[in-house]
Amino acid sequence: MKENYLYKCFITILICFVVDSTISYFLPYNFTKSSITIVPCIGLMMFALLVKTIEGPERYFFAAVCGVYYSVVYSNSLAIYILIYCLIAFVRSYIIKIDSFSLIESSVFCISTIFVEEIVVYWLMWITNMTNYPLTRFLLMRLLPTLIFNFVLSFLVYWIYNHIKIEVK
Amino acid sequence: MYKRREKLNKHNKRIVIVTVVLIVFSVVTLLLNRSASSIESIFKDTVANIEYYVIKTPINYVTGLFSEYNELKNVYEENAQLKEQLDKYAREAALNDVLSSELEKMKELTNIDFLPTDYKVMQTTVIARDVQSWNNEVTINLGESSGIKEGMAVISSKGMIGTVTQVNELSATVSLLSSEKSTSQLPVMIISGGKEYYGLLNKYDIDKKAYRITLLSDVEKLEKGAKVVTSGLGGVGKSPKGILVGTLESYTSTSETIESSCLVTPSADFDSLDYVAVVQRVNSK
Repeated sequence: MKENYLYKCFITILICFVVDSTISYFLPYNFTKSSITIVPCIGLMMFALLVKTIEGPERYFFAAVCGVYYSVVYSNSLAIYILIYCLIAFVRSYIIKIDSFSLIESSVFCISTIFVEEIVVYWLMWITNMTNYPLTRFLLMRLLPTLIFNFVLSFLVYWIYNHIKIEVK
Repeated sequence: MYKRREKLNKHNKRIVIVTVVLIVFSVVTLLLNRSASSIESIFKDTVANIEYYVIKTPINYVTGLFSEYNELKNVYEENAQLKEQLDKYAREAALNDVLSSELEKMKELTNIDFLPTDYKVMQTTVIARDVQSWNNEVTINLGESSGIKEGMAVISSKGMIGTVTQVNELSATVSLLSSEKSTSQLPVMIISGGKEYYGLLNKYDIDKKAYRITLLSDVEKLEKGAKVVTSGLGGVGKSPKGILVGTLESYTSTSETIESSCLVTPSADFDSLDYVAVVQRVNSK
């Protein structure tokens, strides 16, 4: 039963990652960083909500596997995502211990998670000289539109999460 | 009861070990800045192809139907314009044939098999791009099985967009010239005032919205708007000579700096990269 639930969670996250990839494929490109960039984060939001429902050491295992999958398939081996996903699992276990969120709480938690993830990745890109994207432009042209876009999507994520969530017997 | 608990402990131990291994792998990867292994590439390749053919292509087809319907309204006007252009095209094609046959004769006379400008193109589509938009990379649906090799140039209808940096069996990763951190410098040539000047395209400057090129030739003056093309000096299998990269925006050279550099406005439109082509030098083996 426990393992079945873990599989169910994995499949849900995989589907969310596919949806993210499909949305970003059809959103306007911005390779020259001259206009607004929107990064869909349905997978990350779903992960942030689902991770608390998994008990024991499987929680961190689930986080690590989701991070590996995202790193390999979508971010060209940028392994920081493994650490970010494990960090979210830790925060959800020991800092924000609430078992079930209300709609507003879940949206705020999801947006905060995306905010931290974007800042960490931007910092990593900056210190490794991968980008010279100025901070103000990053905040206005990438972070703000991404947060607004995902805030709207977070309602849908919450609705789906409530439909798939089952109690582990 | 005891056996069950022991089994559960064993299972938990295994899960903890796998998790720790994955976290260590993550930290090592970050510290060593390692590139993707072949297993990772195959896995990524498979997922990208499945996503493209099962999900993105049907959606593209449906959205394409709507845009085609909208375009039908302008067909009459477009047809009239195309008819005008067709006359010009026939004249150009005839001239092209004459020049091509003259070139072949010159090659025979001078015993040259291939020119650095000889190349053929393989049309392809972009099947995936970096979801996080940091790497400036796209994945195309041509790979090793189609003869794609690392270092080949990739072009759009308006000019060069990047080079192939990783090749899998069915797909390849293209690093765009709009990348702020260039992995390999592209040899280019500036044609100004009837003269050719050589340089290396280093990176894309997001503040100036232009490529930054370090000049290798001694230059006194460069005309604004001069054409910048690939020089074909990258070696066998790399980009051929004469692919348009952009036009010269500004040139800076001071007595204090040893190297002179210039800014070049890209000819390619990086906002529209659905259909691209891989350029294969004819003399590449």
